[in-house]
Amino acid sequence: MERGHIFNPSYVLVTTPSLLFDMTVKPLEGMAEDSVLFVNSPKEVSIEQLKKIRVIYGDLTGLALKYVGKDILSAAMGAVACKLSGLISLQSTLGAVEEELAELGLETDIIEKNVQLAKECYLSTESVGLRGLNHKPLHKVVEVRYLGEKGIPDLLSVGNTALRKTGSWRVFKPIVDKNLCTACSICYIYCPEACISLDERGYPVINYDHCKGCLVCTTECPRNAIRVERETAWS
Amino acid sequence: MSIIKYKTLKDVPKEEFLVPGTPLCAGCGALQVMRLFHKALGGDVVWVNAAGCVTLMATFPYTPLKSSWFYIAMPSAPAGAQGIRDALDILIKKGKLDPTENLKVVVVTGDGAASDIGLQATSGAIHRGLDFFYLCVDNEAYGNTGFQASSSSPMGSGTATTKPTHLYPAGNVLPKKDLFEIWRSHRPPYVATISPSHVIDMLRKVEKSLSFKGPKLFLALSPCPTGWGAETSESVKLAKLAVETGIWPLKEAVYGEVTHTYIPSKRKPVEDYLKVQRRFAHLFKPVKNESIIAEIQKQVDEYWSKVEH
Amino acid sequence: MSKECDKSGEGDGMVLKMLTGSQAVAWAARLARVDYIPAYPITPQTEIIEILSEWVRKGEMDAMFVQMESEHSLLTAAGTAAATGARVFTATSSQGLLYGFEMLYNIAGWRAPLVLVNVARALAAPITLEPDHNDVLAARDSGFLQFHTENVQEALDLVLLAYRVAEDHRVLLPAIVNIDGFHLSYTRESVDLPEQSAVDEFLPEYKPVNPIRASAPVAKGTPVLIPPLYSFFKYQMHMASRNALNVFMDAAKEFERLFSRTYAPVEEYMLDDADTVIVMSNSFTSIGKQAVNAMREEGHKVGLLKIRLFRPFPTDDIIKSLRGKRCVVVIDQNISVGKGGITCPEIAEALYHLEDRPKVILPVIAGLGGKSISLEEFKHAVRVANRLASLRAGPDGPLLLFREDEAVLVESLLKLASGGQ
Ligand code: SF4
Ligand code: SF4
Ligand code: SF4
Repeated sequence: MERGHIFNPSYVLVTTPSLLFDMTVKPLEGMAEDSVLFVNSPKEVSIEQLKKIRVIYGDLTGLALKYVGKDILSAAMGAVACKLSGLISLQSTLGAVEEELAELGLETDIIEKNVQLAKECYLSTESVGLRGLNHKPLHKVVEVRYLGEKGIPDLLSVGNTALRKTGSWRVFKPIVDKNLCTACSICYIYCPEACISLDERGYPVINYDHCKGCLVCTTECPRNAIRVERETAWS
Repeated sequence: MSIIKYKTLKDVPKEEFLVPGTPLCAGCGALQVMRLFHKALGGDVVWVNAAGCVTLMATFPYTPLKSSWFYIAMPSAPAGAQGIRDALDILIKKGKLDPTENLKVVVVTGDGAASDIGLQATSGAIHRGLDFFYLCVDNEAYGNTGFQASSSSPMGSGTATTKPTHLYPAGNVLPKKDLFEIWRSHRPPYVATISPSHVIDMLRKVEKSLSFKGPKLFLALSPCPTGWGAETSESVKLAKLAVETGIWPLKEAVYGEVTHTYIPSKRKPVEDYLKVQRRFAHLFKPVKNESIIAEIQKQVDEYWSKVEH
Repeated sequence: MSKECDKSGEGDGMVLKMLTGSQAVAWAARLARVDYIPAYPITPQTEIIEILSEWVRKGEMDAMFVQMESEHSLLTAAGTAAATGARVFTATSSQGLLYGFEMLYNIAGWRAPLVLVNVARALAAPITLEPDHNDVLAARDSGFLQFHTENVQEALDLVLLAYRVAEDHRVLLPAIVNIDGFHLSYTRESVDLPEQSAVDEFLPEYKPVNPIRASAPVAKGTPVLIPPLYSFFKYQMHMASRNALNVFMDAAKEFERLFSRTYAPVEEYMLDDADTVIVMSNSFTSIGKQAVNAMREEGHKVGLLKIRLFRPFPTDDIIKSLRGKRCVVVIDQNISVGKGGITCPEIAEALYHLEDRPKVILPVIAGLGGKSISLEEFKHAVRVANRLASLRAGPDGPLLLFREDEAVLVESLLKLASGGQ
């Protein structure tokens, strides 16, 4: 049994493909040929590293939108994890979903929608079971050197969150229609993320690397010039 | 005030001091306030922070700010500001530091740190006449820990620790602490409320405050889609509704003298604001709780009757 | 309203003054040319901040004095000022130290060097004003360096040494200098007050690392949510503190050259031929030394080891002084309730791996809340330790030193408290 950090996962679930190669999350670490990766994505991701391991895809976001009307994935991911393990029955899974959401104080119809979502996710996923724990050692213990004043937790590289591509959070994508836009700059002002800049003529340009898809811009645009599409670029 | 710098939205400064990529929720009102507030403050700022949602914007090794940042501890961000301000002053006075290295010292905290655990340190700093800014991003609960009630949570709201039950149909039964009045009672040079929906009002207030030496305190309504249970796209709209219903008065106090900077000509019913947020859902479903809604409306009306006479 | 005595010329530019411990550490702050003094009053620390505020108000000291509204805020301001590049001095005591406790860990984690004088006072409840070391030892894990002082001269000198070690770029950790309430804080002793020019030579200007400046933005104190980072930074602090041992030794050499007083991490008293060693720290060490003298006169080979530097813990010095001894009596003027004294296990751990480790390490609790320790009590502890050694037995729990006259007094007071006469 492993607790806390899982070093030798039987299976790994990833909510969005963009996290697959995140430097700090490193979800693929410790995976072996007999472990399974589940990726929430409507289509396959073609990346070299993924060729060596077994990958299952499922469009949980699509299902969540269908059943709950929102991209809330916890019930769906939980159900998939239960089924993959081959250890937890459908009944226990749905019971747990119901209990967790009731504790959050959600209304019964929302809980019911989530239970339906969990059920469909459970039934549409195959079971892979847990793999054994006999594994080759991955780690070596090293000595930590004293770095003096370089070993102080000060951050000198300011304004560097741009390295984190929060665009992967986006489920819906705002798109500016240049024909309707009057360059009033309202969307630029209200974007909480500083993800909209203005070009030399004053028209908004959206930074899709970081836009989280909150759609404040869409709501605030007085010309209805920002339309919305389901995001697929990250799949 | 001789020149009014901010007249239309075209005057909003273009320089960004807060870059994208923070881990804060999509549609976070606090983040939006900070971004605009920083534009009005300009550069050469050190933010001094107490534990809250915005703490997570700078987690090692990333910070979205092009300015400096110092996370302190939950109860004592204003005291942290004191140490920085005093150190800069004494080092400049002693000739150990070039005056061009000086910075504006700006405390930013949530309402829990401002109204509860950090109130003592805030009172101390204001009383000592510390030359600093305080921006409280008020999302009316402890958002970072999962939206438990703070003393800034409004009566009638449901939070993780004030869930509505048959014994407590209102959810939170305590009134929202009036931080504006607590701050104002110290008679600092400048106190103001701001809203992310009323950008020009916000920028003008920051601009005005820059001319004062001493405490300059801002209470910003900060819609929190996660805790309030609203669509992320509705953040600005909610802030606007809070102002238009009169729930969030826009005002300032210069050395204690209060002026309302915006008086809604015809206030919308508070219901318009309440019914679009899950934290107030129990006031409408399964049956509408007319008496609590009426009580909230009454409090707002009473407030404005004193303003309008 | 100067409380100082007249200068009594001693040649060599030395100035002898009769100073209280509070005055002495205030002088040390003044001689160190500190920039910033955030303060908040608490007995028995008040005299220190009264003196400093007066000097600043009279223009005798070019520093900023700010009275805060609590110790939590005082420590916060002290830490951020040090991180901004000011040389900071402050002082507190007991409940005040605990009220600001979380900030000790923060200041150390920011690697912001400053000097905090703790005027030791036992912790409530029950509340008292008298000293023991539960307050300062509660801070032992915080990352602050800790210096414990026996007399007024040492208090002054160790504040200067503390600045030099704390600000050294090989260390960069804050420091606590402990002086016992009343026994040092309000006790006048003859002190050799260093010359300003010599102190200036000893203590170069503080050069902060990554201070907050307009030209060089920095983010400080940010969360490290990735567990290996936390582990890494925390252990860097540990290594910095271990480095402080050598840095202290170098600084002490320089100090000796300039001021002709010698300071090592520990001080040995009649140890060479001793078979039983009393281990102590702080002001009661003086009465421990008297007890050693008395026992020596009766022919017992007793010595004393004073611990001056408590963090970093001077393991090698302790091994050097205590290996091969028959009995070690560790007098803890503190109590970790449910265990015993705080320093005793640390001493025992340092000696455990030695072939020639002492036969008995006796944990003793004495002097809590300012309770005196008489000669008979010292003798009793030494006797118990030697008896255990002869029996080849270990102690069963700590030994509390408490006298019959005290038991009688307590009994009569308990009677009064419960309504008796
Ligand atoms: S708010 Fe609408 S009209 Fe105005 S600039 Fe943005 S997209 Fe164009
Ligand atoms: S969706 Fe939100 S984050 Fe994206 S551009 Fe619009 S306002 Fe900015
Ligand atoms: S919980 Fe609310 S205040 Fe906190 S980051 Fe999310 S939206 Fe912002």
